[in-house]
Parts: sequence; C-alpha cells; structure tokens
Amino acid sequence: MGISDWSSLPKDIVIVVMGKLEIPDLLSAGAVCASWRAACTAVRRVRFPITDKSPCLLYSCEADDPDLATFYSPSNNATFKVRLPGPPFRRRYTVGSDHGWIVTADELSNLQVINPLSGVQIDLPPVTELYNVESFIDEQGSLMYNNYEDSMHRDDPLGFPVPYPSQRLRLFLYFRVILSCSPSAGSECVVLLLHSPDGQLSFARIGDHSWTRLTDIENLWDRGYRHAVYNKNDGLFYLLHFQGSIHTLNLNGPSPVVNEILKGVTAWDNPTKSIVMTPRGDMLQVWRCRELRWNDAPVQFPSEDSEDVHDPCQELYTDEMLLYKVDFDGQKLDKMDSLEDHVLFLGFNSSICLSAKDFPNLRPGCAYLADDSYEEIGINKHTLREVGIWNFKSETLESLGDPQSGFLAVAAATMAAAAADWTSLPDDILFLVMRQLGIPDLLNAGAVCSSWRPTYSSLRLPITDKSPCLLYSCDADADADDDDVATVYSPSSGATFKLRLPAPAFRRRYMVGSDHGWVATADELSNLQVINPLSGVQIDLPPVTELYHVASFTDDRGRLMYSNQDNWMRRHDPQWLPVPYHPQRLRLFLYYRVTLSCSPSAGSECIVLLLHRPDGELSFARVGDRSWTRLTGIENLPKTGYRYAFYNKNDRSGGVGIRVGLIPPYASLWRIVMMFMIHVRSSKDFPNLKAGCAYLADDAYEEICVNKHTWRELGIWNFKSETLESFGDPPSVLPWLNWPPPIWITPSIY
Amino acid sequence: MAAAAAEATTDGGGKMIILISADGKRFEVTEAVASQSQLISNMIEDDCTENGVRLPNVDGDILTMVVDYCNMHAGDAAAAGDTMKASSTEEELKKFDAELVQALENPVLFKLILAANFLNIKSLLDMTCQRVADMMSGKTPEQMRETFSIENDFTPEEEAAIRQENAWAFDD
Repeated sequence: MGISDWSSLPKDIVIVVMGKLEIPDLLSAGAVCASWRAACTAVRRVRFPITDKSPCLLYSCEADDPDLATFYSPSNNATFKVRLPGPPFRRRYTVGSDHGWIVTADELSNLQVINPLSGVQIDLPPVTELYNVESFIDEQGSLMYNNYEDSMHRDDPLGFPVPYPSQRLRLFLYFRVILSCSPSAGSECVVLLLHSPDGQLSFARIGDHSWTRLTDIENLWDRGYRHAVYNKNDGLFYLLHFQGSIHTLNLNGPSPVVNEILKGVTAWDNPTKSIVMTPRGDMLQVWRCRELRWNDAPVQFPSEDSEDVHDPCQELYTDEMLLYKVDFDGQKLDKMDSLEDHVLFLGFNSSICLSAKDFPNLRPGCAYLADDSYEEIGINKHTLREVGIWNFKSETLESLGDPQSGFLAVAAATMAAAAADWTSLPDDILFLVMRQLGIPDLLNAGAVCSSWRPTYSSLRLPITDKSPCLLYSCDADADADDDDVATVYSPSSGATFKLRLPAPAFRRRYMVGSDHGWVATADELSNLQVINPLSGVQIDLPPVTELYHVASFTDDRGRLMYSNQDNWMRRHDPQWLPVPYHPQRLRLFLYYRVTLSCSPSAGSECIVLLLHRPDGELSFARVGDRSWTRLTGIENLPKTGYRYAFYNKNDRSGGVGIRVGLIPPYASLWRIVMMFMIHVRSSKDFPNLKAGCAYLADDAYEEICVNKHTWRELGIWNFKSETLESFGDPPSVLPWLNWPPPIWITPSIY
Repeated sequence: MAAAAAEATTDGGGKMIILISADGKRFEVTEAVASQSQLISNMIEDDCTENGVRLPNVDGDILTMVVDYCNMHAGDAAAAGDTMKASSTEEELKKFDAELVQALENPVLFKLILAANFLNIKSLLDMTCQRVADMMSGKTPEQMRETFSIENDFTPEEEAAIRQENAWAFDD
C-alpha cells in the first residue's frame, strides 16, 4: 500500500547493504540521501581506506573469485577489494599502470585500459593492428597469431613468422605500456607500446582503431627500447635503450620527432634498466640485476597452463640495484649511494618517485618493487613474482608489510584520491567562500569540522532559539536604495541582522501573514506569494483574479485594472457596479489575513486560508493550486464577518479537511492584534522575553487601505499597566519604515 | 621617440616578465598580463622583476592556468575604451571563466585558490571561492566532509551542541 521510506532503514542495516556494493555503486549510494551518506562513509572507511595519493599494489588474492582484484596500500597499510568488469582479472596480463588506470592484455592478447576503482574500461586497438602481428585459424579451428619476430633474413624486411596460440602471444609480445595522461581524457591520451621484437615502438591514441609503428625516424633506433616515461612538464616521452642511452620522443607535432639526449653507456642488456623522474625534476636510471635460482618446492599452477611453465622450480631474484643520476651536460651517469628521502615504486607501472616527507608511512630511501621481468613471464608464467621493499643500505629485499598472501599478476596503480587538505584553507579565504552561502548551507558548513567553525561563527546569524523575530524594512536602508533588504530583529537575543530577498523588492510588498517561518506577501499586482526569508525560497499562490469576485480589465488608458464586486449586500442591486482598483491598490482593500496550516515546503499538504473582503469572507488554496476555492454554502458557516483565524495542528482531522479555529463576527474586537503569546511554561525557555506580555505589530488593515504610510504601532503590551512599552530603552530595534508593515516571524529554514 | 612609444602600446604594455614556478617552469608574459596580480604589480613598481619572478609556492600546472586566465583577462583593460569590442570580449570571457571553473577538480581548485590568494588576483580568487561555495550548497555537513575529504573531528558532545544551536532552523 504505502511507499516504503528507504531512507529510514536503520543505519546498521544500511551498512550491511552497502558492505555488499562495489566501490562505484557504493559511491553512488552515498550520494542518495544524508542518512545513506553517513552509512556510506562508515563503509568506505573499511572498504576503501585510502587517504593519500600513494601507489597501491593491485593483485589477485588466491582465495578470491577470479574477477576480484585486491588493493594493498603500503602507505595506509590497508587492503581492500574491487570487482572488475569482464574478462576476469585473473585471466588478464597486467602490462602497465599509470594515472590510476591499469593496462591489461586479455586472452586474445588484445589490450585494454581499465580504471579498477570506477570500473571504466576502454579497448585499445586490436593486436592484429600491430605491423608485425597477423591472425589465422589453425587446423583445430583455434585462433592463432603469427608474430614476425626477427629479421634474420636481410631480404625479408618483416622477418620470419612465429605462430602463437591467441592467449600466449601477449606473454611474448608486450614489454611495457606507458600512458601520457589518464585515458579519461580521450584522444588526448597517447598509449606508447614497447613490444617484441626486441623493444620496438608503436603508439595509439585512445579511440584510435590502429597502432602506428614508429620507424624510420631520424635519431630513433629501430629496436632495443626497454623503458619509457612521460614527462608532463615538457610533453615528451623519454625512451631508455638497453645501452643506457635516452631519447626524447615528441608526438605533439604533425610527425614524430626524436632527439638523443644521452649517449649509450653500456653494451649489455642485463641488468634491467628503468628511468625515474624525481619530484625535483632530476632524472635517474635504476638498474636491477637479477639472478636465477632453483627452489626445492615447485610453484603450483593450473594444469591448463602447463605449456606456459618451463620450470616450476626456477625463479629470478634481484641481486643488486644500482642508482645513477643522469648528467646530461657531462653526458654520463653519476653513481648515487642512496635515494636520500625519496621512495621509488617500480614494476610494470610507470615508474614513480615520491618524496618521503609527503608520505610518512613509506620507507624513505627504499624502492617498492613488483616483478616486471617480461622475458621470464614468457617462459614461466606462474613463477614466483618478486614483490618487496628493496633496502639500498642493506642491499636486500624486505617483505612488504603484510599483504594477504597468494598473488598472480602484479602491478602498482596510483590512486586518484583527493590530496588537498581543505581544513588548511586560510580563514580569510574560507570567509570569502562562506559569505557566498545561503543560510541553510552556512549552518551546515559550520558543522563540518572544528577548523571551519571560527569562520562560521564570524558569519552566523545571531539566532539561537525558536522565538519570533520582527521582519521589517529598516529606515536606514531607505537611503541606500536597497529596497530588497529586510531587517530581522530578535527580541529574545536583542540582535538585529539583514537579509536580501528575491524579487519583487521587499519594500514593494504588502505583508499579510506569517507562519512557520514563511511570510505571505502581496506584490504590486496584488498577487499573493509565500516566501521564506531565510532560505529565499518563494512560491506563488493562485493569482488574485482566481478569487470569485475579482476580474481584470484594461482601462481606456491601456492600464491593467481590477474590478472587485465587493459589496455582498448589494449583489442583487441592478444599479450596483463593481469597484475598479489600480493593481497595486487592490491588495490594501482586499486582504485581511493569511493563515498557513503548515510550512509551504510541504507542498500541497499546506493549506492557505485567506480572509478577505468583502467583510471577512473565506477562500482557500493548497500550495501548488491554480485557483482559490471559495468557502460558501457550508452548513454552520456564516458567509461573512471573519476577522481572525489560526490552525491547530493538534486537532487535525485525519485525511481530507482541516478544522480552523475561526473567530466569528459577533466576538467583535475593535482591533485584533497580530501577536504571539508565550504561555507561562515557555517563558522559562526564553528568559529574555517579558513574561505575561504581548509583543505587538500593527495589523490594522482597515487603516492601511486609508493611510498606507501611517505610523505602525509596535511594542510590548503590558496587561498589568495596560500600556504599550517600547522594545527596551534605548530601543534595541532599529528604526523601521511604516511600509511594508512590520510582521512577526519565527525563523525556520524549511 | 614617437616610434618607440607606438611600439610599446602595440605590444600591450611593452616589457615582458618571466614567471618561474616552483618546479622551474618558465612563463613569459607582458607586464599588462602579469600586473593583474597585485603581488607582481607591486614588484614591477619596485623594479624587482629583472631576473624573473620566482613563485616558490605555485606549481607549474597551476601557474599555467593562472597565466591562461590572466592572458584572457588582460584584454579586459585594453578593450575597455572600445565598447563594441568590450562587449564581445565580455561574452568570451564569461565562457572562458565558466569552462575554467567547471573543469576544476578538487585538488586543483584548492591549489588554484591558494595561488590566486598568494598572487593576489582578486577576480580569480572570487571566482574560485564562488566555485567552492557552489560545491557546498545543498549539501549536509557530512556531504561537505565527503566533498572536501574532511574528517569529522567534533566530539559527540560538540556535535550535539551544534545540533542544538541549529535546531531553530532545522526543526519545524
């Protein structure tokens, strides 16, 4: 029957539900509503415990589903899991990672980039678009690739083809993949591929359909490249040849440009070399020397991969790491004894060098290593991958804290978490920000954290309780020509502040009612609207011409006029004519009072009851209605003579109607004051208000239509002395304008 | 003399100033462009921009954006005399500003605000602060914490006190 209120689901249940969501869904769920947001935050702390922008190890955990990937953050010493879209993570070969994305090769040996946190995946051009790869179907009907690996025959420029099953080619073909920026930038992002045979180069932009081979370019070697980095400061790729020479590659112009910036320093392909850019902009070469050794116990692997395992006891291990600073002026490498306070992350990922000062939980002067020995992977797909922290002092590989054991493919990924500390925003800037906020947002901003609190306190409203305030147009603002500024005076706190209201100008409105923090006003076309001065929300009520007895016409000078058939007694008199009014004058005669059953933010729940001319008739509308409904011909309801009304929320009769306490005409009060009375119990709640008194504002509508700008009577009625007293001595209220008539309002945001 | 004066005006301020970011990136801009920064404007007056202006707390990436912004807005003052030109420029500027500010992601926005504050470029500071305000509006405190990666460091007692203080606004 009814609609379930999902937002009211108990928090512990929401946490259980959210604990089952993947990270992108979890982040979406957190944006649904405030109560879910809180639960989402609780879950995130467990599920997604990353607070800085340092690299994580991404790997497959033995106990998990094949499509689950595990993140281990050494800086946060935390682990969490994400579910990746197909193909299963465990069936991919991770050959690169950069900008929070990983590059993988699927079982058809095609490449794709995927962001493990968002789950977004983009295919790169198929492997057959590389110049040296072609596909064919073998006798068993299986997809096979020919890889033209080496040009031993001088008369055959492509070399000879080596056939590979589709899922095996990737193990031999790909050396490294480098991204110039996040693939979310689309064709801005260049994917540079170092591949077989022997470190050739091809590239594609995101969205391209084919790979472009880099060949026959001045200064570019045909092969032999082993590592590359992209430098976003100069827009160049830096290519490292196995001989230690460094070439820049500029892909920004119409044709690729290559320059040699460091000459070769060695003839040996071993050790494995990589380039690292330090935060200061220096360039390092890191040489990783590996040796083979044999374990007694063979590694375990799935039986279908037996072809991919040459020797299950064989493993490569890092024996030595050498650090060099590149001296471009001297065209040499300067050996370094230590990394000082830098931290390196090396593997298939784009090399990363961080300053340890920014990441106090990382080990300064160390290199966090993941295995990237692609030569070995082609021979022993399942051999033990070397992961750990290289200590340059002791020259040993130490264990990487305590990630869960059992991993297959390994790559480091940089996280796209926010790095800015907004709590450190200087107070004067925060002031500039908060001063732009509306009141509800300002109150919320003040509740965010203790470092934002002082700035909020300097801006907040001087309201601390739920007592009525006087809303009026201040005399002083008249000179400033600021006719949309309203002044609020709180007798309870003695404070005054100003608000800017949306159009029409506050000073051009006629205020005819106030309830639940909203004011009902009539504009210069005599149409009614309700407005919340604090939130600035304004809602139009049905136009005045929807009242049964008001019609508009154009006079002989072309002006809009209203006719008001406003004399009930003479309605059958054929001599009687409707009374014409100027649009801005009708409101002074027409409206007696407006009462609201609840806050207009409740929409059609809110009933607007209108007491109007002639002689206190009743009409009503719900917020959102297009017309007024006249209350007439109802049993027990005299047609006219009503002067005052209020809504009692305690005796609301269920469902359809409302009961309104109506003061009938025979209880004739000469002047009914718009006032609020604080009953005895409540005077304790508001110690600064005078108990037993009535705070009065003027509501003499009979007088307003005669003397729009006459003196408005404001003050505190003392029932004992039967006198009207001023608001304090000297009066704590600023001088008011008589128009629009000041009105009491109990501020509220909703 | 007359020729020299003409050259200086077509140049849009004549002299060039070199700005050097924290990470060593160099930007060559005209005086008119650079002096939108009150900080640099003061340095130009004091004649201490000869060897380039080092900005040790502004990254190259951020300075690129600041220089783009200043280049766009340098037209402002130059075109002020020509009403026709000024109005079309104004529209372009609005579009440029809107795109710049919309494209800003959280950490970049933060750095850009600090840069605008440090360099004292009022219009850029106002614009970026407005963007932060827009990011806050309509959000609960928790959502704001999420948006800006802020830890809730209030004790439960303090939170209760704040709720109490704001009760007048949020309870009907």
